[in-house]
Amino acid sequence: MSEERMRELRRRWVLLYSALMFSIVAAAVFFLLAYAIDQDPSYSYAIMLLLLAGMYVGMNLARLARLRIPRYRTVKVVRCEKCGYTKVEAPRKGDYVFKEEEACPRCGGNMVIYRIYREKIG
Amino acid sequence: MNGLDLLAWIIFLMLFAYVSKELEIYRIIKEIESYISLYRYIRDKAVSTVISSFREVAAKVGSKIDLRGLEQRVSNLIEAVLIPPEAKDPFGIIPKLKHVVLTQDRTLTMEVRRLLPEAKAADVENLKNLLMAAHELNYIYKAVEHIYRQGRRFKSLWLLIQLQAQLPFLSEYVKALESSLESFSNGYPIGDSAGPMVAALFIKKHASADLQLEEIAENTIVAEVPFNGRKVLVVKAKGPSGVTGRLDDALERLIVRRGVKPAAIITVDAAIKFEGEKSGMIVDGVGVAIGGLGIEKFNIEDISTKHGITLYAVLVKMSIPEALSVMSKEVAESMEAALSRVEGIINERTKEGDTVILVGVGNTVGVVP
Repeated sequence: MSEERMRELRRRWVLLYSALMFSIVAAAVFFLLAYAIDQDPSYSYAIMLLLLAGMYVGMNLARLARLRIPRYRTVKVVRCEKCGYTKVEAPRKGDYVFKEEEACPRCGGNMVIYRIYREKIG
Repeated sequence: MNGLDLLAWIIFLMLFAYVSKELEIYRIIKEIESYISLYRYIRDKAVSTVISSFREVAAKVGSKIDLRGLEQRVSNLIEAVLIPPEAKDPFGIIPKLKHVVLTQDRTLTMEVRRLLPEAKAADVENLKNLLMAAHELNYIYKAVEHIYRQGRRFKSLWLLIQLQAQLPFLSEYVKALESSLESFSNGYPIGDSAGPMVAALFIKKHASADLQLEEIAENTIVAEVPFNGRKVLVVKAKGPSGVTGRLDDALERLIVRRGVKPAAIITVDAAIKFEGEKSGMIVDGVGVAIGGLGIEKFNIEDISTKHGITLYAVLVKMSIPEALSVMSKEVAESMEAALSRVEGIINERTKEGDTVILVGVGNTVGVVP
């Protein structure tokens, strides 16, 4: 649940930081060209400040890129008590461990929910 | 450097120190605010999950429910408080604590029953668990927001730093509670169900065809299972509803009232792992493995000490989020290992003809019997 919220927040911040980064790079290129043409040292100060801002934004972007928000899926393992045939599928609401399911498709034996668990898928 | 330059430098340094402190406070405030916003979001989700679960159960049993009344009732229940007994004189506090906790449990059952009189027992217990999780989330959100507001009001950097330092740990617990909403609304086993699951596996593996289950205490069952010449009395909460049972009452009835003389009591429970440990790791030890407020632990220790019964424990290690969320694959796959550890303890540390009590400790949501 909060994973969705975190994904949404990450997406929003990545967009904001990317826009900022693009503006900083564009401004830095502009001042670099201006410095190359005019040789005015005040442009170099602006470039320095933009570099610092770029570093800050870049660090935040890298932190967001490193942020891993895991995805999970819940499964149930249904096993035949006679032949051991096993199938893994999504559980239904109200399923529980050792609940009897439909007959085994292989031998017609008794199938029960053997496990219900959550696994990471990314 | 003349006097004016020196003064300018001093002012600049003072300004720099002030601004850097203000920036630091601003950064901490923003971080705390983001956590608080997340906690508020999770709390609101929990409340809406509780309300939608009530509506689902109402639809299932075919009863009508007044939505506005339900929202008001749920809101009141989430704000309700448990006042622990006075502890200045701690002698005899455990029975008092048990009385207060049982009163809370009964009151919650009554409240849920009043809203949904036709609901099944399993649904009532799952709704109670959902309400408790929402209650806890609401409390954490409010407590964190309270400290944050105090820190801002008094401009106390240290209060804010202390809160900021605790937030990652609190977030683990909040995430765990949030995950428990999925388990309780669907009725799936959680990490804490490891103890009851091992007990259920023992019954399933060793019980004879004419197995008799007896409800020995409220929501608590006992099954007599023969195992390698021993009589094993398996005690666990009654599944698949989300209950933890009255394990201390069950043992009191078996040992004190019925005169059962067990050679050992083995408790199986989930335990919080260290960061470096793997989930599903099985460890054993001596003592009573039961968490919570300590009521059942105290009572079982009291009974076993009076009757000279050996206490063994088997622990299934997991993280805090794993304990409350739908059982993780690692924990689910360690159940066989925990079962064989229990069998090993019975084989190695008791003799043929002995009686052993095996207690599956924890919430038995999604696990039968």
